Amino acid sequence: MTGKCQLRFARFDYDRLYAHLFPGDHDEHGTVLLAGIAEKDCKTNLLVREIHLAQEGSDYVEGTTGYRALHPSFIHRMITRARDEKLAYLAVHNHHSDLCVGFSQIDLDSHELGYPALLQIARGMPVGALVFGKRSIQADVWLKDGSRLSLDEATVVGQSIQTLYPSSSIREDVNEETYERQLRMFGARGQTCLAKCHVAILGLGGIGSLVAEMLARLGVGRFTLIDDDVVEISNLSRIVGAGRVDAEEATRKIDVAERVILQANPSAEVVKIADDIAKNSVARTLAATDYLFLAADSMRARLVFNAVVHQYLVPGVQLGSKVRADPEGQLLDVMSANRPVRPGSGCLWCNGLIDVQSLAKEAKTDDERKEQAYGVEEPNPSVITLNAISASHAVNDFLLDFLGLRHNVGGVQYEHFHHLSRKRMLTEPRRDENCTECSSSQGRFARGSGIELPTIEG
Amino acid sequence: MKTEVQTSIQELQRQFPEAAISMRDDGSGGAYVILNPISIGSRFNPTNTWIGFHIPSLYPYADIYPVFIGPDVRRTNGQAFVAPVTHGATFEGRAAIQVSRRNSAAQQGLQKAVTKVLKVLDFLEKL
Repeated sequence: MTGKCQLRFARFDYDRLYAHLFPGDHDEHGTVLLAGIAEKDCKTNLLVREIHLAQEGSDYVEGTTGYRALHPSFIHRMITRARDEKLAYLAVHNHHSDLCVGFSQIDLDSHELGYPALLQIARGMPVGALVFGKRSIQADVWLKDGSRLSLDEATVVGQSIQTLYPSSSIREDVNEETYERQLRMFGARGQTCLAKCHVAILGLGGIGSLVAEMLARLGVGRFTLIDDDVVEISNLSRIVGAGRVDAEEATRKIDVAERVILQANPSAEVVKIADDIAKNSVARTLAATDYLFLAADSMRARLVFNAVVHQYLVPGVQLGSKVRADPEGQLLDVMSANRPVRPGSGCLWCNGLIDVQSLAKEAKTDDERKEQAYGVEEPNPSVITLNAISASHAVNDFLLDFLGLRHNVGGVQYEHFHHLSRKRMLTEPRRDENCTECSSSQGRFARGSGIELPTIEG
Repeated sequence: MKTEVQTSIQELQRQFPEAAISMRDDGSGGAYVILNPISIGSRFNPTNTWIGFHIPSLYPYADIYPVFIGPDVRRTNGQAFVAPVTHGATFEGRAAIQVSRRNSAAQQGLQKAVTKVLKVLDFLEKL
């Protein structure tokens, strides 16, 4: 093996595959996965888009050298589909080990025998194999340049995030004094996972700045911060770490957030992008992250965020707060929102949370907006306590779900806090089977770099 | 100009073969488009005018809104236009009447430029 790859599944796909491989009969079973491709930290990231379960006796048959094998006609159907759809081909079988798994010599010999020919048929797309233990996965992926990749880690993205390795030998390296109190909750292994984690925060205003501070104090190790705005006097009631001098000097919000992060966690790596999230070059950077926090209030940011979640299988959450009042100023609703977005669980587009008129409006110049009588809108009310509810619930969900600290968490639910009535509403997002953005049978799901994101040029 | 925007302009040309299409790149993947002439029917004088609009770079996700027609268009029955049809606008440096027709809540999916133009023409016909 000459390199490492990573693998991502949507939870519902992984569960379907696992049930096929481990039905309780202690036998071996087979499957073919077709996967989109992306680059993540200079590693090939394989995003499972299609699962083709091999039927016993017809698709998965007695082997000539090994115990069992995929039937040649099944392989041919799958490899030509992988070629036509420009997806990676991954043949899967299982062993009955638990936390550590690897290929047998017979497995590896069969790869040597068959994969050079499959690479030719696939016309440049990667081909390879995965072997599953009950809580472990190993890969042998062949690339057209002759290199072979083993698995670094596999991630299963549902409400809860599960990480699987070829073996469970994660190196634990934590500052025990700094994190002593939280280590008592999730241990050195959890702290190490946080230190390795790469989050992106989209929008570093009232909500995003709170998210940045909480994540830094938890010990998250890598940040991508995206915001093209600067601090103004009217922001000082809400942006964590911003002072009057920042408003006077028009300090960038990402610089304030970086200062706060490094104060809390001096070893954190921070990448700052002072640009529009809707630009293609900016949106592409999100593909390499582990978790997205959308704390920007534009519809174009929602559109891009939503697409990245489903195209690259990156879990995320949309945060917000909103105040509605009647013309006399009487409060009608004061709410905070925490909307997790996961592949296979509906999306912001098919739940009507991305307004097409607002997208049109955001595409106009300031002069056009004035001329076309959109008017000069008053800024929306914004209050730190409402922002803090949204931020703390979203970061708390991240902590519990990313570290796998809660089980049987159920499906994804939007969480809305209506503060005037002191009600917390949980809403299961609807799933449109024909949604272009999130349906697993439609275009965007797990396509990775194979298709464009819905961005503006630049 | 983004592929989706280019495709929508080709669709407009097919739908309105008699109209000349002028366009200007908006610098971020979208385009400002003018179709001329377009028939708006005998309830207006003149019966032909131009129709212009901005196809945003986030098309087909973003709506095409608003739409503009020539500034000299009048109703033959003498009634003045009222909102959402308003005088005094400009589009691409030319005087225009602005037609502010939003999509209904049921039309919040992917947009189509041809459909939007046809809906505006249908709206004017029923005005």
